[in-house]
Amino acid sequence: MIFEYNEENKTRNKDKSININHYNLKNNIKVLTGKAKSATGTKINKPFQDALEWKIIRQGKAEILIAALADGAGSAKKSHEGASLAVQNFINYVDRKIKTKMKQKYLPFFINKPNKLSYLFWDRNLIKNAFENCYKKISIEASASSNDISEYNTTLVGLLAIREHEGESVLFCGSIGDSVSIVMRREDSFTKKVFIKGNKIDHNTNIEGMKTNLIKVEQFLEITKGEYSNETVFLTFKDWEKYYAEGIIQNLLGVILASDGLNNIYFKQMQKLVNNSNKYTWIVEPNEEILLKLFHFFLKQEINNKIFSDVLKKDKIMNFNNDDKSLLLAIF
Amino acid sequence: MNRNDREKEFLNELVPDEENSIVKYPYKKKLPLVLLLDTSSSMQGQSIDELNDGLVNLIEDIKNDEKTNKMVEICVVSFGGTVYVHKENYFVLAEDFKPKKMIANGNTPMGLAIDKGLELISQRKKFLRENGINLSCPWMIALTDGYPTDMRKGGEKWIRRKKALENAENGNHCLCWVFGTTNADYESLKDLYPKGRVLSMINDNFNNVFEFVSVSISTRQIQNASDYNLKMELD
Repeated sequence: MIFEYNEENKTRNKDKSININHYNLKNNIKVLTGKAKSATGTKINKPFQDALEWKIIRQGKAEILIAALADGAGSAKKSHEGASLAVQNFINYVDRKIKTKMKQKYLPFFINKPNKLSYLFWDRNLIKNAFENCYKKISIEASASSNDISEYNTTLVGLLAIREHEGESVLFCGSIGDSVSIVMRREDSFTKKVFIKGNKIDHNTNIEGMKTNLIKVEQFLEITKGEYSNETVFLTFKDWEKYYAEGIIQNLLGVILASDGLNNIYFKQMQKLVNNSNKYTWIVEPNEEILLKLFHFFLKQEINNKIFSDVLKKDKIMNFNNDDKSLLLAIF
Repeated sequence: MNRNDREKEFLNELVPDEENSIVKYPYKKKLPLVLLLDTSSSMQGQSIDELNDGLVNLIEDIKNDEKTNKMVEICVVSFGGTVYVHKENYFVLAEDFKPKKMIANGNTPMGLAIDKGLELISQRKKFLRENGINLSCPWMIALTDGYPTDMRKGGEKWIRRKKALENAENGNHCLCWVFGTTNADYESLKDLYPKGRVLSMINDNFNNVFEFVSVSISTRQIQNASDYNLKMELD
């Protein structure tokens, strides 16, 4: 579905285009975040179960965004600590590795050749290694405090995004569990995607047309969880690699990371039958209309982190989903 | 525009309309509960009265419990002469339940009721999962004072339904319970249902069954049957 944003009445009409040129996308990576504790969590003074952090590294006119979001399991005693450890360690690990790479001679060459996906496999295991590092750090913390690692159960979605000095972008993202990654890209633009699940690699290239002004909002990585609500999978599982999903995409406008507390508000997590089988798979259907409004408000500098977080705390939102909420929107 | 007006505007722009929700309280996970109620002629008299009263009490318990009132979706199926899906109580929350007095009549087509119950659960699960509503493992509860009259123990239909109940349990499709009065044929029920899912009412009191069910669902822990004057029928 594609929408046009009408400046006059602030409504959108289906099947029309949004004019991306209304926005100033030429400067740098812009990040909006919002967080809200559930109404129940506030009432009983339960710690905030989500963790969300990000940082930007600048290299000349190019920029690198590292961001991570983790959602601790409501049933685990120290899951808020697990979520926090996962996010901090992800960012620290990727940051450290990137800074090391930046000191190496060939990086400027890579930065200046953004259109060739092959160049972007400079360290194919970077994100997965970061996840492994997070798992190890949480294990160490659990052992040190004589707790079972399941007390730290948490999901994790982490990304590394590069915005070249000419504005081209590429996103590396990894995920375990039901936290959500959504990408915004120009409809029919030249995009390349690669998904990795276990040892399987799936290439998906769209070269149908030139860049247009249409924006498409779509799920990026698949989410992993069981059939019932108490069957989420976590980074803290011993066999976490089994559930790990990773993807790379080029030429995008923005990315959203969100915890499942925003399910039924900004997206729907649904199970759909896999073709020609009786098996179900989880899919995420973004609420395109509302997410594009958020995109618009943010680029027009009408909303900031404080206002957005305050909106997320409202009863009207909690009536849809009374869980802790975190969302990061990055625009390239 | 001041800060409050701006927040209000964002709230209107950035939140979907609640009326568009496919179910009530979409943020709450749903637990489909199918009740297969024996209304055959042998239930006439005190039994059917107790069944009717017990059902009302179950609904009240669920309605008054914060943990279950927005979660449990009740679907009533009676089997007495025919299998009847009570359309007015098709996966409704306790607050929307419409009590309807059941009358005892006819034979005991429990086999067909099991088929219908499993089918209803599959349909409901499909509907909820395809609409982004979180699920808890459904329950299917049968209450009877006798034995199925629409299939012969060991016959083809019997074996098929026995397998279906076993698959439903082992595949985590739903929990399949049967509760019987003292007159029920436990040898048959134990053969048909998965092990540990056949319970007898010591005082033939349907209230005890419904209380056991509501507390087990609310606490997310199967209660000790003997605390509710129920006895687990094991080999």
